[in-house]
Amino acid sequence: MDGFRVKFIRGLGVLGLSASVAWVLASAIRARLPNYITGLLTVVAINSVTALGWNLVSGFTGQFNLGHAGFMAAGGYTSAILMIRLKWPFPVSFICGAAFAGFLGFLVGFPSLRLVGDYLAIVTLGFQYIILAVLNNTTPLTGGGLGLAGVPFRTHLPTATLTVVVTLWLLSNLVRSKQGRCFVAVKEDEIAAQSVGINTTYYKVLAFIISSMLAGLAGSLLGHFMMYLHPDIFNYLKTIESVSMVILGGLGSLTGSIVGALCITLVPEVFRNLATFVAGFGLMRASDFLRRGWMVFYALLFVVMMLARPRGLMGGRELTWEGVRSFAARLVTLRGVRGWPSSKSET
Amino acid sequence: MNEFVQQVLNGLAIGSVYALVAVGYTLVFGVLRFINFAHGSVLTFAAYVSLFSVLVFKVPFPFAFGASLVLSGLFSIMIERQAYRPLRARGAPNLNLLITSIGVSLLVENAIIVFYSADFFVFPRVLPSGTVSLLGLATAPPIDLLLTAVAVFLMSALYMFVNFSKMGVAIQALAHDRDAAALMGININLTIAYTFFIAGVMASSAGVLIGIKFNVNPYLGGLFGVKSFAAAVVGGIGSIPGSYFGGYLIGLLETMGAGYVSSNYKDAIAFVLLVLILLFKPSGLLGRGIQEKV
Repeated sequence: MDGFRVKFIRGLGVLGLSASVAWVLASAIRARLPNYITGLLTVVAINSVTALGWNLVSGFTGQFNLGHAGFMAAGGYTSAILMIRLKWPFPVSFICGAAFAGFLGFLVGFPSLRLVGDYLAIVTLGFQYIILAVLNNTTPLTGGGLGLAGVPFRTHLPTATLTVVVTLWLLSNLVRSKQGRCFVAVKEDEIAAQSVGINTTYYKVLAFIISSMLAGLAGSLLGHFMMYLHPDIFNYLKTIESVSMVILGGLGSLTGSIVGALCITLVPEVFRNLATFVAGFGLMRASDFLRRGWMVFYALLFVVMMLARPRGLMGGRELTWEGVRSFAARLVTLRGVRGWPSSKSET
Repeated sequence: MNEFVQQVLNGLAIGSVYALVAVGYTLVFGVLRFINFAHGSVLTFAAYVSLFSVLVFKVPFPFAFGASLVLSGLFSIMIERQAYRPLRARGAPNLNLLITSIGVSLLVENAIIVFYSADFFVFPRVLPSGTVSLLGLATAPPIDLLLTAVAVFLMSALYMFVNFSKMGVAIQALAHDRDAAALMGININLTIAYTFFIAGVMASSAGVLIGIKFNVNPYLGGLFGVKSFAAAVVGGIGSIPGSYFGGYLIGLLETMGAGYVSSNYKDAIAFVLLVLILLFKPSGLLGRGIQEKV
């Protein structure tokens, strides 16, 4: 009991410390660096929350979710409408957005997750189309195809970073808890998990609800960042974006999702700037190709990653201080980097 | 009354498309137990092949149609060989196969946009214009009649193939129990390749014809593919008659819903039906439950 209390207080301390460090750092960046960079980093933070959510249900629990953007839309629209129409304060509507997305997650998850198999993928994909149809056809409430303008700006870089830190802390504790072990058990072998007495439906639905709540949080952050919402923002490709981040970082690696979010958000910017740069020399064709080539590169990423590195760039590991230090030490002593994950370590 | 007959005709035409695509999902699901999300991209590929043959190479339409069926079947086999077989060979989890198939569909879509064009193309006129009157009850454009006729023809051909040819029986055996089939001397990889070829041919016939009915664009396979999968599950995944039944059911419900209720929620009907089926009869209307084995 005492050990538990010490652990709990230490955990809270880690959260407080990292949250305040993140807040100070983010505020400093916001004050010093140009708006472009701050905005880009905010997008990275929002995408990290989305990717973490997707990773929980697909990377840890092994259920393929293709409606993540739909839950983002639910959270984003709920939070924005509560703030605009009912003048609720931001923290309350923010939480309500997540709660509503979680509720929808229960409605969608329950019928499809009772079954063994990949039914969730197709039901969530259908949910995506249903929610877009609803958003497009409830014009008085959501603005329909015209979009919802005038969403108050609340997502500063510190807010977004704080959300990432809290999410990361919660999830890293969750995956090491009893529930988290059950998630992984369901992914590894559902029948075996059932036979040792794990209520697989309960854990699958639980993971799915938490994941949709995180999507709702990210959606409302996105809405309060862009100050505008439109059904087309939350289309199928938005889901695919989160999938690509998790694949790049590694299914079942929390820090990997953040690395993936960083890469997938920044690389197209690099491509875009490179294209503008090349166009400056009058190489219009090359510029055009660079601008659009990203899309093919992006699609190839899925196939190549699955074939060559199914556990992601990080090989399913977490980025820890110890890991970074021992890696650096090996580099310094030039003994060859042995701990670096090889492609043979896949499952 | 006349309007009702008209709606039924429209529903049958669009239902033929869903049925033709859905049977491909069912066949592949039967042998590999996974949802081939790249199935819709075979449909897109076929529409572009036939468009190219008619526009650029000036091939007469029947030959273009035939060529695109064969090429798309081969394309489907190629996807299986290059993307899925390496994963199967090392026993990767199902999730990785699903992600790969999503990647393939994204790749086809984006490659068309980047290397060709994102425009919507109207198919050149290959069928007589106007409408055909059916017994004075209703009228239908020739493409709808062609669609239904092709669907009926291919479905009967598939029935003959699956039940009365050696390879067809092999496919059934594989769907029943892959390991036992392998022990009985069935060439697993060859049978899977055949399955993908047939699935590709069925989907591509639908692809070419909806290219003519609507237009040809890179996103053609997306929504049609997903709704057809819904049709396959509604009818009972793994059952060939079930996927036809599901396809026609969704086609009819969709046209009826759009005609009599509201066209705003037309795309949602298939998925609402899907959720209801999963709640009340998860094995589908005509399917038998799939036994998970240890």
